[in-house]
Amino acid sequence: MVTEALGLLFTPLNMLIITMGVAAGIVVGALPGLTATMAIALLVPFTFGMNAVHSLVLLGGIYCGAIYGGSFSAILINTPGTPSAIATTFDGYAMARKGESYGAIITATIASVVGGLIGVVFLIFLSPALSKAALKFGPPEFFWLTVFGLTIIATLASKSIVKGLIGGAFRLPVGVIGIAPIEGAVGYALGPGNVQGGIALIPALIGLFCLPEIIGMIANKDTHYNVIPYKKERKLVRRIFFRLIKKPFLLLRSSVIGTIVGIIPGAGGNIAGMVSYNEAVRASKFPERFGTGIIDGVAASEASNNAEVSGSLIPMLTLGIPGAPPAAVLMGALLLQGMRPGPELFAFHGEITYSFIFSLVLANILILPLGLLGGKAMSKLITGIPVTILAPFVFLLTCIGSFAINNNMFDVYVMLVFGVIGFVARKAGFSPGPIVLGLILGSICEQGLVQSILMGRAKGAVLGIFFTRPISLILIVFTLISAFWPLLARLRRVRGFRRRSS
Amino acid sequence: MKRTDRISSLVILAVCALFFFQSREFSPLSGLFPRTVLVILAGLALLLFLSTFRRKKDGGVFDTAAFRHLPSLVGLALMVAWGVLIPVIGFLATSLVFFPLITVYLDRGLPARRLFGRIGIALALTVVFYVFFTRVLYVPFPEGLLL
Repeated sequence: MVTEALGLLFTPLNMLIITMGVAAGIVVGALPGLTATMAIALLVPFTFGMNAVHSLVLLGGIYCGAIYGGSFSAILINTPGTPSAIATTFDGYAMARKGESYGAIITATIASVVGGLIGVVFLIFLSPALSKAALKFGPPEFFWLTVFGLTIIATLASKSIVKGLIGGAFRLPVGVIGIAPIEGAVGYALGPGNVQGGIALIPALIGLFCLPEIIGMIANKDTHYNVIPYKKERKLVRRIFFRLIKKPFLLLRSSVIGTIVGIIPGAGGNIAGMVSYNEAVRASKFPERFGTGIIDGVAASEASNNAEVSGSLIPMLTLGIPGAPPAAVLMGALLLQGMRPGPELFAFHGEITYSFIFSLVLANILILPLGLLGGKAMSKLITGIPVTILAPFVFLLTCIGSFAINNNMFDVYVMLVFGVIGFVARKAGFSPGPIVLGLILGSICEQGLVQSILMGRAKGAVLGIFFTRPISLILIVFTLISAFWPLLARLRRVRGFRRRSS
Repeated sequence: MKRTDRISSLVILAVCALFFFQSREFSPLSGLFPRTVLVILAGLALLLFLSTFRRKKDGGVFDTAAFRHLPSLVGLALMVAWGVLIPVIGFLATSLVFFPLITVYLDRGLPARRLFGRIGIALALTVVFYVFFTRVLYVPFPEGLLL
């Protein structure tokens, strides 16, 4: 299967597509206001007409490129291009202010490549094993897995737990519209018409992610960025490479943290970068130098957020539970191609799936030449494109993208409605991450629940089917821990405070 | 933030009530999941509503700036109008009007020469994308009274 996958991947056209994907991703990531999720959501409809390998290879390249691209604006203008690069600003911008912007970019590039490759190694070796384990999953296990995923996204991806949970449950008004997965009952269609077939997922995702960001771009259009000059120095690449090679634990630790955070549903690259940066500070012999502009800080954040890319794809490909919002949108692309994530992905579409996974190796390697050679252009691009052109242009793409999926204007209206909902929800403190993951996990949850009940009825033990299977029990324990963790943490803090004060 | 949380929780409760009313025709099995989630959602909304009374002071500040920021609101309104008018006037014609219109509105302080340059870019991008999608990718764009 691996040989066939490599045969599928190594064609001149695929090489061109990966290069274009990574380059486009870097540009998107470098521009403040455009995120990886938005880029993938925008491009999914255009990949619908491509074959599955071309489509996934392109989107994978964009995902890797965009997460790395965020480091450019983090370093040069102290504004993370994508949320994943928040921790890169701490030392990256400080380095740039000391006149070491080129050094910071080289560090970010090398660390991103190393982190990305380590993440892909985990993806290659963990995915088949997990997908085999997933064969033991029946409807009750999928039900509990999605409940576990929903509790995690709610607590991790939102400042307010209640708002996170509401965001996760927001799926109901959307997902229940149309024909129900079991019994075929038509729900909330409000009469025959366009909504009878349900609300299309991709236009809803495009609206939720793109429109609020376009409005954000307009709101910040007058923000003046002071781009720190980017001066190339001879032999600096080699010098930084050897300095980083002498810090294998830093790179390895950050990459492993990134991968693990990526696997956890809902925890994105921003959390990976922050946790990894924090651990780098704790493990360092000179923690006081972090934040003053040292390569360790940049390397920790960038290795971690690029490893998180592959980490977020592990649960998505093997269980159909996306690890991060960009992976959730990528899952939409898989579904559009008729490929259902989960064990059957490796069983029925093994060659395509492995081609996609191996393409991530190439995408991460390509970051090196594209990042180092295109750095100068990127620094000009950050402030060179006027928002007044970019914002309506992105909107034009959202309209075309929403329309192109089914050649249906109704999908454009869906995008607009969800865009407005997303804008208002974001301003009211509901982050889009839980909403999107809830949209995707909700349908798996519903299927799991109803199919489990049918199984339970056939066996004469409805409750037993949910609470007696070993994997379900493990998932229930995880769900309870995850749901009550914030409460337990708070109690611990209060107790600690009381102990200290007494 | 208190007021916003109160309003959003009341809106969510109203949506829950509407959907619960709609679910009365569902069979017990197909209605099980929607009703369960509706009850959970309503419970969470109630929790959010009640939590606003427990807060001593208003910690967070609702991002009202976005709602008072005129360019954002006008931009959003223009974009919604752009999308809604596509099937009426046609994709190309609507985009040729709205793309430069939004650019002009946002760039209204610019000197005339630079403004005309940006209008040119907006028109060129629209035409290039239209030709690329309709002639190269064969995506049939919606037509109305015009193209």
